[in-house]
Amino acid sequence: MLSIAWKDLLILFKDRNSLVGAFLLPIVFIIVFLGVSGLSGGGGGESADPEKVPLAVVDNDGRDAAATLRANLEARAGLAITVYPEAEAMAKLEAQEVTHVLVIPAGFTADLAAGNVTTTLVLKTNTLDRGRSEAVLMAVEGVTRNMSLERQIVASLEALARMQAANPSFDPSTSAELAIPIAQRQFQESQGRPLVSVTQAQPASLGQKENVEISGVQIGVPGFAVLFIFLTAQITARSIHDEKKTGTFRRLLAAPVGKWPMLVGKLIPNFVVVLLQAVFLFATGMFVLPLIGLDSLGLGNDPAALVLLVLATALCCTCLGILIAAIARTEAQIGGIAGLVLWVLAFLGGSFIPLFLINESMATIGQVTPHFWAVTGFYDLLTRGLGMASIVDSLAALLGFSAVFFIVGAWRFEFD
Amino acid sequence: MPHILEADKLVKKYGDLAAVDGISFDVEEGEVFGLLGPNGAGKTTTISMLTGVLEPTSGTARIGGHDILTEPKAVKQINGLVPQDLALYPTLSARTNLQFFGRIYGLRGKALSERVEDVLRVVALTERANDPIEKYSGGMKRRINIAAGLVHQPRLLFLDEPTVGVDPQSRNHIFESVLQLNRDRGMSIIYTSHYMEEVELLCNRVAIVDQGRIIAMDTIRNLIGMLGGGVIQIGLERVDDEMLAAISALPAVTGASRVAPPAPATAPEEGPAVLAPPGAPEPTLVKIESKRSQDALVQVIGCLNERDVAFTSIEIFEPNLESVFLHLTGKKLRE
Repeated sequence: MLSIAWKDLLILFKDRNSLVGAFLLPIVFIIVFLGVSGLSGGGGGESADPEKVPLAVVDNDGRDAAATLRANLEARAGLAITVYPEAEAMAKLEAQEVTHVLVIPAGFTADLAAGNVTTTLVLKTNTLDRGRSEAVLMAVEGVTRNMSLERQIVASLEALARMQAANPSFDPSTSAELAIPIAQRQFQESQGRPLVSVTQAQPASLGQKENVEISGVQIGVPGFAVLFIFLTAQITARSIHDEKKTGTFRRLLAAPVGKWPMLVGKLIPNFVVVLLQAVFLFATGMFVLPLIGLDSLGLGNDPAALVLLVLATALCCTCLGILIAAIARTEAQIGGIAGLVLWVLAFLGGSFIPLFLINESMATIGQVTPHFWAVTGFYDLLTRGLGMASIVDSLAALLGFSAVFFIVGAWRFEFD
Repeated sequence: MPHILEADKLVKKYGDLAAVDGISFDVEEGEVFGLLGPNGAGKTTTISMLTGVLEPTSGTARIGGHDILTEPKAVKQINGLVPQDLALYPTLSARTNLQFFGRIYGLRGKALSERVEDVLRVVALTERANDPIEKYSGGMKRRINIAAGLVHQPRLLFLDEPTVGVDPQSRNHIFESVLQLNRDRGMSIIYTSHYMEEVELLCNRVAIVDQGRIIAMDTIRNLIGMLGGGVIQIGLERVDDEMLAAISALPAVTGASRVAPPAPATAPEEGPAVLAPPGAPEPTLVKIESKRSQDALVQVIGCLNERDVAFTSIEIFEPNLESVFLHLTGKKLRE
């Protein structure tokens, strides 16, 4: 069994076309996809330039401080401010006519004047461009931080003035000595306990899109990794087809090797190649893509879960290989399955665009593909930073697909 | 001599079609046994069943005392298979190919290395052993194809049409290797071919196979002896029973009968004295068995002249396995 696997790996690694298809083509796809889609992430040009970013503002306060905030956002942060009623702003956000909406709460001016900690502004976003979202958030936070600081320092000086007025024996020459430490204390407090804070959120009406905050690399690398991992399933089918065509399969059948060990020996290389593919693609996402100005791929917070998901995906792909080998009798059929079925399944499964960003019906259709579960699992781990509990359903689905593929494939496989 | 192989009523059916229809034969230890027959006769299917590649529909065989159905692993250790195809991995070197085929028979370490070097010597390809197979000539590939079947030192070697597409020099080398393996190492060999010259050269005994059945089996001398003086096949514009009787009565003729003409799609084989003008009516082929073919030919032509019957073709088959096959089936081996 291991001899067969080792021999197949030797053959595979001598086949330049297979290596290019398995390892280099995915990288090319990822780079081209990110370039074309403009989802290059924080390292990209436009997203780092807040001057061009429009910001819709819902002013539920309507008083001085809110007006000052809007003016400062436009003048100091360079955002293009448009004020909308809240309902209209939310509708435009949902329709993605605007990508960022800042909601200034009622009572903002009064709270700020009273020094109430904390007045919260809500920045709602609806874009995949994490870089742009971060730029807007930083701009808003910068402006509000300055407003907090200004308000707190002014408040402290007012307090000092009140102290002086209340004490007739106060020596004005000591005013500066008192004012400076007070101002420094207020400055530190404004850093730690700002009067105004900003939270970033998605409107609840956007359902599954809530809390999505992804860079292009976080989408592209896992998605295309899953696409090309499942394309690797044709390795087993091609290898078995080649063996039958050249007659070496007869030789294997004539040797004292059981049929099942022989078949498992044919499957192991597929499994190994998928593992190498995953390591290569994720490592490229982490270390190589940043060198060409793209974001670095984050591997999330649960490496054990990531390893398990890669193993489950590799197993599923390998079992799909035996199914293809059993169904496809000719080279053309193998090519047809790889060229059409696997690409369509990948599209339906969300390898190109995450289905939770499209609509629910697509996500429902996608669930019949193993790609969906693999992609969803990788997004949960790599993009959302979730852990093992979040991918249990993905693991179960992938193992279920593996079992079905293997059973049907083994049942239909013809050794003769 | 004990039997290394005893095949008992082997049958292989695909639906209603019987590719092998009740074949039984024995092979003695140390014997080179030939399976001779045209393409599609069932030779490869028979070998496939004996080597465990195909499961028989019915019947069985014992190889080295082990039943092929109940003890397949023991049988497979005894067998060596050299398939008709070039069953090798073209991007790997000859040495890597041989090492792989040795490993799947359980060879490891020093024993494996020694066996690989030994079979490379047998096929005289030691110096090219590290080259990828895809860079070999057709003849060299055939030789490595044989080596791959020898690496685990089988007691019984199945050579399935090993010389197809081989140049004369490599063909001779293969013949020498087969004879050497049999003579020096006592290896039993089952050799299939549709080239009667090869079988005559290499084999002690021959089974002639046609349409999934053995139609004759004996030593080559005895098989040829069935014919006496050879066979003449003559194409006539017209023939009737009276003419057949007249030909049969000729002194140098032992019998005459009609045979079906060859299928139109069949390419003409090389052969003596074929006269067939274009556009001529389809001739009737008559097979004439003779005591001495030259005498019989003169007498037959005289008989035809007397009756003013023109002949369209004449082929003379001297006594050999080809003419035995023609005699038994009415067909040529390579039709």
